[in-house]
Amino acid sequence: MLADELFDYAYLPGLDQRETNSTAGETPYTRWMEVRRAATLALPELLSHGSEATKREYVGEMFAVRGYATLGLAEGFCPGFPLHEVVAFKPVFGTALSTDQVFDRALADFDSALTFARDSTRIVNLARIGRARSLLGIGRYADAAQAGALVPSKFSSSAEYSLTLRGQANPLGYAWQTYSVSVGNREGGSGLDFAAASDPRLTLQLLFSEFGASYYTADKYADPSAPIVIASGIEARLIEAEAALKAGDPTWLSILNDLRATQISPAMAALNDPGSDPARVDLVFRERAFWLFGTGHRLGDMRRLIRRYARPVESVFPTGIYYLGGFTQLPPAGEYGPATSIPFPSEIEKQYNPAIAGCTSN
Amino acid sequence: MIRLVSCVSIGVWLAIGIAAGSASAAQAAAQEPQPVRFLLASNNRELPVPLDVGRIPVLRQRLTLDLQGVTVREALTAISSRARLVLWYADDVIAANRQVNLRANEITVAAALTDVLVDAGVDVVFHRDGTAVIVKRMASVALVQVGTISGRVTDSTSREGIGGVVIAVEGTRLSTITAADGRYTIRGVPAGNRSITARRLGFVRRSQAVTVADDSLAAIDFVLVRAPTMLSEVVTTATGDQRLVELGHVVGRINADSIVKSAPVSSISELLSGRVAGVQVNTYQGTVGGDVGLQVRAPNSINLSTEPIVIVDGVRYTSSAAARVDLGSGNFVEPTSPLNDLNPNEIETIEIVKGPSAATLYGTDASNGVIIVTTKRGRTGPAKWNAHVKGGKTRIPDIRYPDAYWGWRTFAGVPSLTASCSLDQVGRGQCTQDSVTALPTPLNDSKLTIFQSEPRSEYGANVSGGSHDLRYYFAVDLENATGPLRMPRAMADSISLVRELPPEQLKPNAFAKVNLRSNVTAALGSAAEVQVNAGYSSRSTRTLGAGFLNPYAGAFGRLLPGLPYGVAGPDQLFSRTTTERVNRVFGSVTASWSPTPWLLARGSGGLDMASITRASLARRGDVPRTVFNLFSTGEVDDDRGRQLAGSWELAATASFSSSQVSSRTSTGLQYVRTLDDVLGSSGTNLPPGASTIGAAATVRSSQSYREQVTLGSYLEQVFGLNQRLFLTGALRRDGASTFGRNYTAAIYPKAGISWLLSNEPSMPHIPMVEELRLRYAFGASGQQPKPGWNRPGYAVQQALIGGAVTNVYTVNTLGNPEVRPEQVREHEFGFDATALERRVELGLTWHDRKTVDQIVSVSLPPGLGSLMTNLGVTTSAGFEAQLSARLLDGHALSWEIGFLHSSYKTMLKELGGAAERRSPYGGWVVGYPLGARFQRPLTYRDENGDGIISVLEVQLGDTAVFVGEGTPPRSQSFTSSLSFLDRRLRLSALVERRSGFTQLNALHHDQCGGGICRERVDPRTPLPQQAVGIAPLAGDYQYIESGDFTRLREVVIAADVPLAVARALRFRSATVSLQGRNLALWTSYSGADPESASPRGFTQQEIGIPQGRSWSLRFDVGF
Repeated sequence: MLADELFDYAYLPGLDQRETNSTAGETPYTRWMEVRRAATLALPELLSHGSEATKREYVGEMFAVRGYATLGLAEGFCPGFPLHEVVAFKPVFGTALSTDQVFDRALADFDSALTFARDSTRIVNLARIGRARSLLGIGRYADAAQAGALVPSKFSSSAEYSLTLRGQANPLGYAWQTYSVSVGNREGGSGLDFAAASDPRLTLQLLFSEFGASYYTADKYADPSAPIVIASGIEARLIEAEAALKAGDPTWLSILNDLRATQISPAMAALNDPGSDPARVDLVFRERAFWLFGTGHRLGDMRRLIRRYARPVESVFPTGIYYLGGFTQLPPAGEYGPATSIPFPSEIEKQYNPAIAGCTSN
Repeated sequence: MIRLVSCVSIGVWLAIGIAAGSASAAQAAAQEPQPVRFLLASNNRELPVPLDVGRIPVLRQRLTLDLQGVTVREALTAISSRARLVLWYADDVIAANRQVNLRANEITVAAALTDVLVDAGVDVVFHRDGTAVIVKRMASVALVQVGTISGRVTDSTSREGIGGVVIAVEGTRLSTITAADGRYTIRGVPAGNRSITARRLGFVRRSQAVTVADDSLAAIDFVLVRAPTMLSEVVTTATGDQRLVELGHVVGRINADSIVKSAPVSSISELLSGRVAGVQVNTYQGTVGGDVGLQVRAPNSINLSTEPIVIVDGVRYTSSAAARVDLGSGNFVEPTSPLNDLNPNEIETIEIVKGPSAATLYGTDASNGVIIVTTKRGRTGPAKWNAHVKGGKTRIPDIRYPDAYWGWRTFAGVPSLTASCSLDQVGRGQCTQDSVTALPTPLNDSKLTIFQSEPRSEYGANVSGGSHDLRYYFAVDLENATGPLRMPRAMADSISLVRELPPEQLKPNAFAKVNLRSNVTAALGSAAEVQVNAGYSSRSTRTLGAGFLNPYAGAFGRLLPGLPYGVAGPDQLFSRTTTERVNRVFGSVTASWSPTPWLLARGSGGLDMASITRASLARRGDVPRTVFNLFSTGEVDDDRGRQLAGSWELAATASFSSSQVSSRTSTGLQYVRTLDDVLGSSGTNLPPGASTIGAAATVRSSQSYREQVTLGSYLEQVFGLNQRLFLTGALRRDGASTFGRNYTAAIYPKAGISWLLSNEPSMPHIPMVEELRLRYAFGASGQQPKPGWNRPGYAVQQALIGGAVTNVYTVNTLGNPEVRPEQVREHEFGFDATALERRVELGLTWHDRKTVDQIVSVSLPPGLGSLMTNLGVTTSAGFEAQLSARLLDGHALSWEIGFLHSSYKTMLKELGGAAERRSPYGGWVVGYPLGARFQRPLTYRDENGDGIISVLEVQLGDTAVFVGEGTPPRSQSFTSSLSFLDRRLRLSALVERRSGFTQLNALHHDQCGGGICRERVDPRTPLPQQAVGIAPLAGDYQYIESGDFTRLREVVIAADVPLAVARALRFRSATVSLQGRNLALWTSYSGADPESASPRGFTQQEIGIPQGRSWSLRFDVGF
């Protein structure tokens, strides 16, 4: 929502408008924290059950799950929030952390995952990509590329969804069924042309056009029970491409083109070197946006463009007049706000740690 | 110690005695040696009176003396110093240098003085300060002629001696207490005509005149007639049977056996209602077999139960629907009452222990009070049969429900017959009203109403008898009732045209129950006894849907053309039937053994086992149109639960008593375990005609298990002094599986004083008052956390893993390892009086409670959930009065009245930082009563001046403010019983009142929320009322008004069939009674029935069907 990937019709218009209200991000923040808590509580239980082999695999997987939840917080939320721990079922309240510190915590979880689940290729690859993604967030590009290097391009690990199991539908697929979220299309001027690009990696359906707005759904989640890819070999290659570009290694383009040739059928046309570094960065991030659409990467990437590539906010995030529901022929709801990250519920966190001051930066 | 004086002058009398009598007394002594006399000086100028040496502790002391060839002075010095007696005398009075010899072991001081002073011609006169003076024998004392009275007090019925009777000589301070065999002796009674009084609790006080001659014995026996009063009753306590007079707290008592025969009572809840001060029975619906709630004194808890626990024959009994195994909320059905699985015909007594000051020894869970039920026992003698039959009808009283309003509309020039035009819509230009019509609600239409008079019946028989060694009581009871509800005639006719209408759909509420009981008591020799009590009940209840699935609510919600009950009419909702079947076995074994007269050991164990099934069925097509299209494709639910509560106890009581002091020491160990196990399954999308889960297209199942264990021990000591002062101290220690692992045990102390002032010789007699007792008690009790609050919460749910549905195990909550029971501490003070020859009995009680460690929900940082933590503090204070009076007491006519009053005030003192709750349904805010209602204040302004208040012109304030209490803090009941013809014809009535609280008018709220109340439609409605009418659309705004009501609860006309007629019919006795229940209601509440809208806890409020009005006829025969 906050990014240019999706456009909100109903649920979180505040975030969609880059709202800075501290309560706007309470629900997604709570969900990520719940995943961390559930994984943390599961760890001692898993350590006391099953054979040594399954125990190691499951514990490793649970560390990886907690690592990805921590990654979600690091990539999406403004810095300054704490990470609480649970020790012997007692909460231990944390202190304010910077974004890099949160990435470090995720990194530690993935390291633990690799240590415990060293015999499980599935978990090892899941953790390698998580590790690579964490290092990318910190800006250690070469380490990131190396962390994911051994993951095969065909590897994929997904979250599964079901329509028949209560409360377990694919959230994007469900949102599209209830007409509440549309695929973005040059949102706020600076957004990518997700809808207009006619990219084969993102086939869309136009559901309706009204009052100057068009509502698109993506075929990849047309079925509300479709899985969402958490980590994949494609992402590992994309990280390698970005690291290569950062290092001035010309293989960055061949890595991207190799993905376009081998990871989709029919193969996509090869890309050309745009010739300038900013354009090359744009190209790498655009490739990431289309390969990783709807998998929770885009907001983190947009923030990295600002933090790591010193791009002006206006060139990355939607700006200008905000129309509620995108209906440009109806009165505008105001202008886009300044947020480039999801604000965490600082007022609630302050109750447990008065030193929490809110977002320490955007 | 010894004092030597040359002249003694202690009081005027002593001077007179010495001066006047010294010479003559010395002469008399010389002529006729006399033993020393022990006298008691009086405070006035009267002469001293002889002492009963047995009652003077200093004279009763025993000494071992070896006085050989010592002087009298030396002997007196030895005796007084050893006895620590201050003894004054003049040497010349006692011939101090006279030689004496005394050698004795364990001789009393009195005997020693007598020996030393033999023939000395002296008196030893005791003063009130304990000092004694030896004076020359006073001639004037000889004028005080005294004698002795002695005798025995016996029971008029048993002819056995009665111990503990106070025998007093009127006009003097002389009194004594009879020994266990009833014998007594009073010495030193002034000669003359005296009035002797015998009094003991539970017997008629009696006085007799006697002439006492000098130095002689007068025999005077008393035969006392039993006169049970409230203080003489024996009640059941945690440590065994105890006399009420010994307890520092009040105990409510209901003699069920006599009430059930003569009052319109068909259930335990009806038996409890209005009969004990401080006990409130909430009947939520006017249906049969529905849930009831009990409350004793003030509610204590925010998040835990506010209901008392129930103990039947010494064993825990699951009594509340909340404690009953949870069969899942998916059924959306009205709960039933586990309490009413008991049959009132089987019950001998019900005793109500009202709060922690009394309930300490019942342990954790007893802080809301304890209801102790004792079932009937066999009595020695030939078999006695009793039988009864009862039949009657119940109906919902005629109420003029408010009309629904319809605004005929035109929009864009087009009239509509399918949509109403409300004032709000008119104000916003969305329609134009052509006219307004008031339409009667379907409940006021005989063809559309769901109410109908329906029958109920009861049959029962019991037999009791046996020998001293084996006594028995067997009973069987059957009850059938059809709820006063039916599918409306017009709808039933319509359905019958297209399909068969099963009887359970036509009459959706019914109740059938069978109760069996077998109580056997066997004596095992002379020192032991075993009681085996077993009960069985089988109940089937056809119950209604709850909330929006109850068509009674639908009658007020929305008005749609052709659908008088809105989308959820009785034709739809009654077509989904739910039947709950409960088979319950309840039994206890109690063995008591008394190896010595002073020791009683007791062991008991019991089980309450219930098997519960609840089945709901909506066949495909039978319910095509309901809210959210529930059940339209057919649904079947089958939930099966098993509940078990077991309690075991080992206890011992040692009792000792003398004529003055009694001691009762009790200790015990108690173990209670409860578990419930539920397996639920449901199926949706049924084929036509199918009714089984196996036939459903989609099947869901669930299982849950819950267990909790409590282990407690206690020690209690009761001291009794002179049968008039009783002191109690006790301690209980509990551990429970629901306590946090860092909390080991709960300690509950208890103390009590009961002082029978009327038996106090030093107290002046209050005219016309026979008994007067002051009492005070302090005690603590608790309520344990719910299972799961103390440990991480685990859950198994289904998830998709690798494409397959797999059971996954999650840890959902952290649990609080520190959580401990809520502790309620209570002080209780009061007095009881019996006056005017036991015509009037009065009991007044004040109580003051503080609940600490209230468990509240504390939110953790996002993602970590919440913890149940002991943070809150609440208080309550209240007053109770109980008065009964026999205004007329003749053979031809007698008239008795009774009055009960109770009031309380609760206050939330601290929440410890937890979130407060401001809600119209009842909430908790510091500084306000527990469960008080809060509502955002309403303001309005006709901004556009169009004479219509639209939803945009009303505003609800930001903060909800206090608007009233949610539960009745005051209740009263009044009974009046007239008896004629030697009590063979009786007429009685019970009126109950509850006040001081507010109630939601959900009926009005639903009408306005649905846009069909007058305020929403009729343009003639004044603006303030329009604002109120539209307010529910602006936010959560409820119609809150006073819920005060007075109800004519019971009316009974009962007549004993003349004995000659009964015997001609071969009956021992026969009684017929006409019984009416809930016959009238007086209230300013504008909804249907303020009692039926009773809240459940603090979170839920529903429209309740008004209380049913019933008449029945009952015949009781004995043979």
